[in-house]
Amino acid sequence: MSRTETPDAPLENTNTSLMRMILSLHGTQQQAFIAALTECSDQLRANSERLMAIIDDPKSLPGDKGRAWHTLLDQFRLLPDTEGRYGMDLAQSEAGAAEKFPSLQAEVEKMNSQEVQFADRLRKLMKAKHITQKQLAERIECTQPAISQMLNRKCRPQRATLEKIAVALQVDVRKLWPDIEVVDYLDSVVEFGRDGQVMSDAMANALRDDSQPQSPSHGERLPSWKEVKQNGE
Amino acid sequence: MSEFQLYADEFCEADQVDLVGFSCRDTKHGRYCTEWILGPDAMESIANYGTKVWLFRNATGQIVGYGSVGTVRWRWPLPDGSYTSLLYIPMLGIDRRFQGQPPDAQWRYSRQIMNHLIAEANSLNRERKKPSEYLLLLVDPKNEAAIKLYARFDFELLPGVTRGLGHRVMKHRLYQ
Repeated sequence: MSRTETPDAPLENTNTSLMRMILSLHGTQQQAFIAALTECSDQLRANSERLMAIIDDPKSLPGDKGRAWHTLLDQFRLLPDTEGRYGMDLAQSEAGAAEKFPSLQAEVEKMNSQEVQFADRLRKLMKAKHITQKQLAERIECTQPAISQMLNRKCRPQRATLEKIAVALQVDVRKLWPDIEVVDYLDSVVEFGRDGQVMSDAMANALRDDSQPQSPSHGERLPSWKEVKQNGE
Repeated sequence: MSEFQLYADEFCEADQVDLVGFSCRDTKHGRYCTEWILGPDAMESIANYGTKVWLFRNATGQIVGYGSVGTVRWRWPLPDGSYTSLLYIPMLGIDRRFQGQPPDAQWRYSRQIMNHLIAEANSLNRERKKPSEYLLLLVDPKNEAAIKLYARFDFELLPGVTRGLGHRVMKHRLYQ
């Protein structure tokens, strides 16, 4: 898996030309540029410095300087598109590609967790049916912040809530969450961890039965990867 | 140290980006395990129930799997009705690329993960005034591979106990 490292002092090693360029940008663009530079990979930053050297070099031709400037802004997606928007929305890009190439749809879906797909589907259905978060909350007898949390992937709806939403939006529950068995299983895991429940007689008998010998295994704790990495081992 | 040595770190929100592409296979059991860690359940379990969740990485930092240990207070049936604290494993999963790996059983990832979870359960027990006698987990009765793995770690199926959609409970009597 590729990882982007965020340095502790992200702008410390940034060269002076680049710093001058940052200072020449206007407010929003400057903020966006600093954010992009902070989060970008070392390779992208090295590219930026090479481009800046072209802009800064008195021997560079005006055309080269212009192209370098354009590339620099473009690589951080700071140039607006035809509708005046900056950058590219990944979800939008994936959806667009999947629309053009149907075979990609399955791959895009596989990349997302079901809960992410649920949030997207719910948002689209609410939009299509012109239902606000408040209206949906009233219909399923919950609060608007609860709907907001579901849409923002902050909580997973339980099976009963999914069914209420499906009724409220007049859709099959599988349109919201196709793999409903997953919800059922996750609900049972949550239920298993619920404090204060009274255990069944069968459960109590099994736990009172001490015929099972104590396991001789103490287990073995694994070392920390983060500590090893920090210590540079 | 073997190249197959795993490393464990407690899971936090910042680790979520490392889980992009994580999948415990597109089987029924695999989807449960994938969804628990990719969706909000793991973070909710940590925040609401104090569950401990670990991500297991290999030496190159790839996420091999995850595991969890939680505590739950249940009541004995009446007439006793008093509370008892139990330890349980809410969920564990191994990424599809690392399932059944490595061939050397001594370093098998599932084995290292189970050993870590049992060690953590024992450690939690030592911190408690009234230690839990058992470590429990839920298992799909059709998931034979999982039942076999747990049995290797001294987990036994509880007779006549089912939860949710017919899932079975297994218990491991902790070393006291």
